[in-house]
Amino acid sequence: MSYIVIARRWRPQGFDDLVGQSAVVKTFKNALASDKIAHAYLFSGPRGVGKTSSARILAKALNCTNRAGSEPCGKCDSCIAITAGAAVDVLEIDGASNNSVDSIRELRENVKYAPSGGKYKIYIIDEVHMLSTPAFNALLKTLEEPPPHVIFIFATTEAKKIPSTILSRCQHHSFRRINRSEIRGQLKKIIEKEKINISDMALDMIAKAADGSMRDGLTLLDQASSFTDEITEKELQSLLGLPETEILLSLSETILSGNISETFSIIKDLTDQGSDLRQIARELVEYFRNIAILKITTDAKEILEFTEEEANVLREMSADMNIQQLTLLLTELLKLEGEVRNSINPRYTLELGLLRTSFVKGMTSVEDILKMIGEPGDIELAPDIPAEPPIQKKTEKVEPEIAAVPEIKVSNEPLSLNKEDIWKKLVDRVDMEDHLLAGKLAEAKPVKLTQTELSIGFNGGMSILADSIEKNMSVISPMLQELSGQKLRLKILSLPNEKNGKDIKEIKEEIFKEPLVKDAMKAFGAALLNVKPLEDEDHPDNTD
Amino acid sequence: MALKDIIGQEKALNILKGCINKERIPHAIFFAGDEGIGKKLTAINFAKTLNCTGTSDGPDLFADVPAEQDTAVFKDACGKCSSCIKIDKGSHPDIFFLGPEGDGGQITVSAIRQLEESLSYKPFEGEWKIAIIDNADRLNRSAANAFLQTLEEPSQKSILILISSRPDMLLTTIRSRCQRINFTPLPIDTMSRLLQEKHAEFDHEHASLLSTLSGGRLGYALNENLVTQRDWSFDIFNQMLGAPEDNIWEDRNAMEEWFEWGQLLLRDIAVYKTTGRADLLINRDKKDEIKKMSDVSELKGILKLSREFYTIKERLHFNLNKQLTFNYTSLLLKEMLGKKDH
Repeated sequence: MSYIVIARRWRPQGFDDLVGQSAVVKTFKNALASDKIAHAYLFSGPRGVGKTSSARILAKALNCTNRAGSEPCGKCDSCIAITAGAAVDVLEIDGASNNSVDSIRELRENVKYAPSGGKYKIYIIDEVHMLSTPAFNALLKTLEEPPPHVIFIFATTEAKKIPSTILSRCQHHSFRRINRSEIRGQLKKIIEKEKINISDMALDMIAKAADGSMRDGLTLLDQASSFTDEITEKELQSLLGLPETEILLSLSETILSGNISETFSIIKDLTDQGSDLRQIARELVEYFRNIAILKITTDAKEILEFTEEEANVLREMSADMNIQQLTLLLTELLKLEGEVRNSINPRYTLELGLLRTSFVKGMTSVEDILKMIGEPGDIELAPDIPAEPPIQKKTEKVEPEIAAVPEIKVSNEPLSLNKEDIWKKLVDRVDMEDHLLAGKLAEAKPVKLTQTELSIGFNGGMSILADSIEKNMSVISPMLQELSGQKLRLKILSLPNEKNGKDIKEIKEEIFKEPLVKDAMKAFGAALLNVKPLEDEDHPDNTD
Repeated sequence: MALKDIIGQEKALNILKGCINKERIPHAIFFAGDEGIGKKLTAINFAKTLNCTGTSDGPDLFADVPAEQDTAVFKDACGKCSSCIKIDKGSHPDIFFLGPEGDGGQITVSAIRQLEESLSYKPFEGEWKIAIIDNADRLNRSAANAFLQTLEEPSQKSILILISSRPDMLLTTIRSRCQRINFTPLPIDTMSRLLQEKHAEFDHEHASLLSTLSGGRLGYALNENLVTQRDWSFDIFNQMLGAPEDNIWEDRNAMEEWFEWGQLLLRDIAVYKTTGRADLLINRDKKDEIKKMSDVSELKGILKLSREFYTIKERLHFNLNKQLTFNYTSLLLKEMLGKKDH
């Protein structure tokens, strides 16, 4: 008899053995107790959380001959046959291998025959996401109204690949990742039964490395226990290829302190020992993620499942970093991790990347620089307004601009309200006759209204529309006269790309004089490239 | 050849040995680790050991490990019995090899189905049926999914060994069904010692250069002419800084290689620039040239350049024009390495 791995030996055989899926289990138990069985179920969730096991348990419970309540007895012929995988009425189909429409047609042929012994004929289709589209479609009719003795159970890791027509015909149960403490609890139970010697720390590491999947955890436990009789933290680290915590700690410290020479030394030692640098890059990312999270939260236990001491060590390390710097660091490391993973020789990719991160230390956030700009003394202020704080200066400087802008409009155009009104009415009126033309007109802006003419203008590139409007003048003119009740003429002006009557050049010069801008440019070593007006505001802002 | 001849993978071998000793051989094993460090060799010899009918002669590699039970004394492959010889020749009926085939370089569903069928029978002559799937990351999507059920619950007396140098490319559902055994690059000291043992003509200097250049991958260091390749890329590098010639790269592979070497050189320049320590360099024999280059360059420029190199290397898969790439790179080099640091 060949060895059967722990993960298979410890497959849950009843609902009570199923760890970490309380919501799903409760639903099944209630359904079984009240005999409300759906004819199609879909189980989805990540790898190793109990989908296939649940399908088998459900099948057992349904066909169990002496079921009390909702648990299958596990002793009757039917239960034993299902556990051994030999039951005639429970058909487990590998959806990935039998994914063609022909397999489904064959299945449909067989569906109509009554079960040979049990109450139900149960089809478990595993990896159902691999069925082809025609196969899925061929299944639809049967799935909607199967014979009363048939129950379908689908299991998949990728529910999003299932067509919605299938989804809507099934009762969908989402299996969730199993959390660390639940995995740990189950492992603990198993090591007692299997008589495996393992230290508590090592057990924690396995539960962590399992990453939400019970099967991963059990596989690791299995491997560790065949590797050594006495599983300790150190043994496990070498088994998992994890870098030792001390090395990770010192590497992180050198990165945080920007001591690049020391970083290189550590990496040299690591390669000299033959460590897996890819794994180290991955661990570094996680390490800094934890540091960043600890920086912004006090609730370390909830999110990271850390003890308070562990959290404090990390907090201390990052004491003189702010969250912006840490985020930047983390971003660089994430990028680096991908590069290292694909690199032929990970060593120098890692080194160059870490060299890049060493600049983060010297970086100051934009926020801080802006604050610095505001502090007199740090950066020279413009000589004409020395004493006032900068915020006041800004508002002061902006106000005359607001005043200046309407000034231009008002002085030239006393009937400004009317101009907009008439134009809007005209566009609406034209719209009733000629929708296309109205669309073109809507692009234009009314500029000026005098006793005899209404001038409109197009902005920059839209002036090509002017020609076609000119052609349609015969349509527009009577309408305009009708609306205004006056002999108004429509005049099309071509507007230069100007903003509120002010030249870009003028604005630029004005902005250059602004001390705040001056300081900012000095602080960043920047040049003024472009000036953009803010559309929604009525004064030109100088944010660029 | 037997398991004891595999060099530098003690950790992995210890795990395998432990499995055999305790008679707890998992049905699915996943060998993960860099190219050229002995994964496939280990897999073949593991298969030999399992099916060996003779007895191992000579001192046992694992003699120092105490055996807990009488029956569990580890026997390495003898390399002489008919089973071992057949496996070496690749003609053993119970050992199956599977690797990427055809144009796409993929492992297809039909190959997997065929394997599944072969595995469903009892072993012909050996004790175990063993399937070795090389480059398992090349399993295409349907093949990988079709494999899942077999991988979880194969027939009795079958062992599946998956090998990959890019373990992250495999489906998590596959990985979670296997016991993963990590293969690590060799420690530099061990490797240079081995190289010197194998090649008497290597002096210590050369052997350690080879080990660092190959990044601890023995197969890589032995099979390829690393130093020549390195010098070739150095020459191009220098040419780019001077007056470039045309058509220096032969094909895309050469380009890819060159950019990899280029990054190595940049790394050395950057390291020297920041630390000034010669012992951290990889191209130790080129110390003077590297020093010269690091003198005329700026750190920011080098880092930018390495980013650019990385990007170009990524894009090589999209058929970059060779000449344009060359000109672009040489421009970049001149710009970045031409600057004087003040």
